[in-house]
Amino acid sequence: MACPGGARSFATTHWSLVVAAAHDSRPAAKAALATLCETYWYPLYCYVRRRGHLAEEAQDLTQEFFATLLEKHTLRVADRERGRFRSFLLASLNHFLANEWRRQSAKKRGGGRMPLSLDLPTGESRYAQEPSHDLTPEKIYERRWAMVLLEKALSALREEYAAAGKGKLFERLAVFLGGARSVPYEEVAHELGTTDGAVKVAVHRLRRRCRDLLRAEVAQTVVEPADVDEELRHLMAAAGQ
Amino acid sequence: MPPARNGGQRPQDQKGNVMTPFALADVAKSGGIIFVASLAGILALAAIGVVILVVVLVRRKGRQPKPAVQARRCPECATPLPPDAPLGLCPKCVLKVGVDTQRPTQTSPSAPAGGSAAPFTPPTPAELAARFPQLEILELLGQGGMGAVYKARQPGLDRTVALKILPPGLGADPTFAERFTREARALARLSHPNIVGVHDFGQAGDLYYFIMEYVDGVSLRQLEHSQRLEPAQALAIVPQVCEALQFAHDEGIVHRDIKPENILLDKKGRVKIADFGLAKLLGRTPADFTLTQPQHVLGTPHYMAPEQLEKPTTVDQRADIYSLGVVFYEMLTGELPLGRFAPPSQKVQIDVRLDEVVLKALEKEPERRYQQASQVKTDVEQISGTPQAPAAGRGPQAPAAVLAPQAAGTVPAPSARKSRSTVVIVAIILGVLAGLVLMALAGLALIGAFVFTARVAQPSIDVTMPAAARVPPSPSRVEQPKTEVRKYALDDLQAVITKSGVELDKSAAGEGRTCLKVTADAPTVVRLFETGPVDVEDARLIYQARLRTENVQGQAYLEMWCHFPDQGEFFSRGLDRPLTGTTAWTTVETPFVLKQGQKPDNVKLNLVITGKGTAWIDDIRLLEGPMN
Repeated sequence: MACPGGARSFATTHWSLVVAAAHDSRPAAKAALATLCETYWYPLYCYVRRRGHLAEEAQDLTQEFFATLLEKHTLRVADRERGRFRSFLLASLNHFLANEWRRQSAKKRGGGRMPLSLDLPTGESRYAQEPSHDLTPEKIYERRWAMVLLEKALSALREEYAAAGKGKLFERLAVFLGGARSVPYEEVAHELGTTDGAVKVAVHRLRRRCRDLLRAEVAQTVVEPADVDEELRHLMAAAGQ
Repeated sequence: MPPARNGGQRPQDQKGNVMTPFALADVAKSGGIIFVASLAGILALAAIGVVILVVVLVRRKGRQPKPAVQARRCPECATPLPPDAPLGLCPKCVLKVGVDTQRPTQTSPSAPAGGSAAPFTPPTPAELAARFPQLEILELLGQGGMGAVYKARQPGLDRTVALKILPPGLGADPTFAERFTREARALARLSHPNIVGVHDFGQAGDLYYFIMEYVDGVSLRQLEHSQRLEPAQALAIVPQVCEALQFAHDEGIVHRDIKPENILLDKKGRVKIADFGLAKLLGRTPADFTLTQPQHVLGTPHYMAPEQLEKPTTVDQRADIYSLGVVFYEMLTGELPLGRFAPPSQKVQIDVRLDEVVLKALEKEPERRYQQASQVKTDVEQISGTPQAPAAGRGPQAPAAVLAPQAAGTVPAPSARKSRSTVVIVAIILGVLAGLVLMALAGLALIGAFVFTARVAQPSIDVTMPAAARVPPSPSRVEQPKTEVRKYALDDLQAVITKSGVELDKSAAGEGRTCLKVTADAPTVVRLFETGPVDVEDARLIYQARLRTENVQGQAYLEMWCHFPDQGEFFSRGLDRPLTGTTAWTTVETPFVLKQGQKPDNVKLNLVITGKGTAWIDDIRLLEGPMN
């Protein structure tokens, strides 16, 4: 059934796949989980660092955690955390820290079984440049999560426009995506050599596309499509800290 | 001397004087005392030193530059702008773009299970093409409870149209066909520049359809989402809506569903009302609008007049006026007038007289409301002083006025309260920019003159915004032969002086001249002069004065209003070189380009200060200069 907005896509978002495959290890689900982890590992790294682990230990820990996560066949986390990948990931890490990490530190950790490509050293230098503030580890995690998601959606948007030969248009209009309603359209219209009305329509289309991409990105990390709005609002609050 | 108790020799000092134990003790004592005292003194000094050091360190720490995170704030949501903000945009605001609560033109994929009338799934363009062989179906534009709209082309006529199909299942109602034909015929009769026209209608298989005028633009809802509307824009939109409504009402057709989603604006800024009469055709009942149903499925009842919900059989054209009132209020304030709501002038800077218009349109009793849409239009236009030219045929003036904020009837909005540091930064930026501008002035003068005159030929555009973001198009002012139209003496200013904060100043202008001093605590507009008709046309009318400022937080500039018979009032502001901070005496001017036949019958000369500060003005003149 053709439905605008792609209702079909919701059945195949990464996280919903993973949750659906909770009790068997379908390759598709594993791949989906791997994709999610590759996107969102950095916020988790920030959390680990802010928890007090020093750089080298944090890198070790992060690596081990993801390896363990991907090896497990079942999701050993309470149901209420499964609605969102964001909460699940943090809960899993805390669980890992409390139980497995301690056990593992005793024995030798196997190297080279990293199924994900995490650029941990870069992560560390990025962390060093995090704006210093007194947020708790949880808040840093949430904030960073929101930023990662935002960056992903925005670069996808930019690439779309660039691929359509509208790179310059995107650069000019990007300002209207947030926090710049005081810039008059006629200014931009003048620069682009077109009318205010055309600029208005172009901005509207840009915002609509941005909305689609943001929602699609969020949708990958939730199970219920109806949760997208709530997750977005949560991220807005997190980003505003 | 008493005998020595220790049995030995008495200690002797150097001179051979024997020292008695008492003397010794005395010396020891005093020595000790001195020693202890000095020690205490040193310790005390050290302690003081430490204290000072600590105090200094603490204070220095306190004066450390605050983390960059707090330096900049998003102008929209006021959250601090982090340095790692992607593309320099406010993360919160961009994420907000993703949260879109009211999208009636699009189904949300997660259509909730509850709700009696589930939104239908519109066919794809390909599926539709089979039923409409005479059309090229291009794309789905949107859908709502009233059906789905597609962009299409009529190859035979080589024009783009909008194809609207009604939700299927209507055919089940035997009386529907007859009602449809009747309503559709009535709608087709509505031929007005502000109403989306109906070209054709009928039934294709089981689908009822309309072929309508295609409007290349956005809806008012989309516009409201993408930017904060200026009151001036609202004042330009409302009269056009009134004209459309009045025309339809005269034909006996009530819209019944006026809301921002149905008010379209095309690229030329013309208002087009869509979906006239469909609410009645589709038989929307109050049951459809119970609050338990999600808003985006069936449309919000907030715009409906009370009688539409309570006594639907008594509905007449006054229901549309109520809806217009809601839309108007929302345009001005960004909020819906729910419950006990504040009059618009308390929420935004607008003419207080507009409150009456809005509130009268929002009267719960139809008898107390405006009875005719044309009355609303008359009142709004009278207050804003700008009769809108009829949409068709008048040329670029009226449409551009919709898009360009035309602050007729409004006061320049107070500038955002800037902190001192922001002002300093802005001042520095202004200084640098001024330097660059001067350098580029020579080269850009011609281009600037072209651009500027082209712009001012239309209703003048208000370019109030941060100077750093603007490209100043400065017409060259040097060596322009100007003839003096009128020179204003300060005696003429007596009336102005009665206003507080405005006084004569004999010392500021030097050489025994008396000038006018304006002290502003808040954004201020000082009306200096108002003239009768000015016999100038096919030339530039130039308002010139000498200005000096002191500690102006914001801008000081000249503003000229020209009123033209049959056209209304337009302004020109000297914002290409506003004065800010503290400046020496500068000659400033703002021109108004008058075309042939465009003689103002009233000219007002103002001085505007958008922030706190003091300004002096002298040597006020009206000059006439050549067109370019």
